[in-house]
Amino acid sequence: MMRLELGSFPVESIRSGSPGGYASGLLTVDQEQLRARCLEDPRVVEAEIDIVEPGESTRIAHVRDVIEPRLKVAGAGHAYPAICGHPPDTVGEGVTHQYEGFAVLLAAEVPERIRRAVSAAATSIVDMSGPGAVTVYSTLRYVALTLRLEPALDLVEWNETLLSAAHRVSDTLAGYLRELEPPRRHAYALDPPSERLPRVVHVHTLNGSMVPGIGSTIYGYAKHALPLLLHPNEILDGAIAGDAVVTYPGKCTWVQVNNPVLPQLYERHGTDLEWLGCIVSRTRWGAAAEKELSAFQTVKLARMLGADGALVTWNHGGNDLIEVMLTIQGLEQAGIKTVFLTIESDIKVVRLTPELAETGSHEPPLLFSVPEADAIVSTGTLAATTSLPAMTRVVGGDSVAFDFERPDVVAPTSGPLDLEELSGAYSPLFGHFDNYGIGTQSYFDY
Amino acid sequence: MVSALPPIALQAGGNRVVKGVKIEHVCGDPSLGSTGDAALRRRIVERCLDAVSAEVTKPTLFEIEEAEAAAP
Repeated sequence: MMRLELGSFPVESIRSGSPGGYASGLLTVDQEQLRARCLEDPRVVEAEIDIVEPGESTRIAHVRDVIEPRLKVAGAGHAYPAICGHPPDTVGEGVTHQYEGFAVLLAAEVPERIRRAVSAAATSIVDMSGPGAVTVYSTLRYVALTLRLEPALDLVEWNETLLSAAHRVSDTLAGYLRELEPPRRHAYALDPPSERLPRVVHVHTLNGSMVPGIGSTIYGYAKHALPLLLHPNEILDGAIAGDAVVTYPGKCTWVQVNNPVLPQLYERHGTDLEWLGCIVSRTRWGAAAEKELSAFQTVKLARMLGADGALVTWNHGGNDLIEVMLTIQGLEQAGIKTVFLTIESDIKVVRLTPELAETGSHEPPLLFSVPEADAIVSTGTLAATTSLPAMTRVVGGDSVAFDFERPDVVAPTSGPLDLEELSGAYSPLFGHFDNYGIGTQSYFDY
Repeated sequence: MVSALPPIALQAGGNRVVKGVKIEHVCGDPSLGSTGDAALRRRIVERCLDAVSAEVTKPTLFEIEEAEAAAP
């Protein structure tokens, strides 16, 4: 069966220098080399390369994706398969090297034309220190790319151009690890347990974009499709990837390969449960009948796998919850005990005060629910302070406009920023919806 | 109300919910062509008139019959 060894290289500091490489926790990056990789594509007009570390008085604006460089050193295929020119071979076997605590951060201001096409293409920020530094994205070290593209690109090309440049940089940095011995190794396999244990499936629901040609992808495939069975090792090798348009945090590439659900289920596999794998079901279908069909087929797959229990997760918000809830209902009705891991109230959550902490607003904590959803683990709701202080350094762009309904409300990125005043329906803090419970922002009042 | 997502409308307490087509186009279906789309839109409006004149005691769903929806 599929066995994947992850070799981890923790990054404890980054410096600029040539040639680039990794040794004993120190990552040396050749900024000129990385800039040249961005500019290989003539559609990339400008590229700035910055090194950003936690604790700095730095604010990163216009965050579009975060990508952890990973490299396959043994076994078929390429990390992050079937996107950005990578081959589509099935991944999840062999040896993969990864950085730990380090990622490539892609920043690009959304041109007005793109914002008109996708109103949710909002501006996100990451603060590296201070009261806004509550998400996991404030704890990583970054090579941050700030890219400006040719002005005439359409939405799909804009997305592909940005992602491809970021993956060229990611692949270059991952290449530093090719010949090295990893300080830490961990092997992952779903070998059948020696005794009969409760069989558990991870129902990994994944938003599909209603705007054609963009959205998070499974092996490069962005369209809505019926559910697919993935081995968790495929996900660890990057089979699920984000887009560069809508920076909903549950869709970013980094969180897919660092989804804490995967190692935690692996830890339990063979001990007190048998993990059957991940059914990946797309959400945000347009018609009620499509939502039903997707849910029904997800339930059927779980039954065919012989699941006794299911862990349902989602990476989004809004009407995606209908098919998620219908799935939970169907699983329970099929006798499959189901637990749901979820955020609460996903909009209008800008300022957290103790009075608002329960639901984040006057809205119910979940948009839609079914009586069968009787075992729910909450990762809570956003905790940001009312305003963010000024920062001495800015990366990604000098000004921000957070509310797409008020594009004229522009503030200097360096701040201070009154989030309550400046924001629209969503918090601009990247990582604010903590679908998998990684950050510390969720536990304000729990 | 006409809703592409009746489960939410009903759970929110909408008394008379007419099932729409889909989120992208609630009150019609451009894939049917202009004549078919117009006929479907008329059906939806007529169903709304049925609904608004119906006695209801709890949130109630009014669907467009499949045969009606497909009729040119």
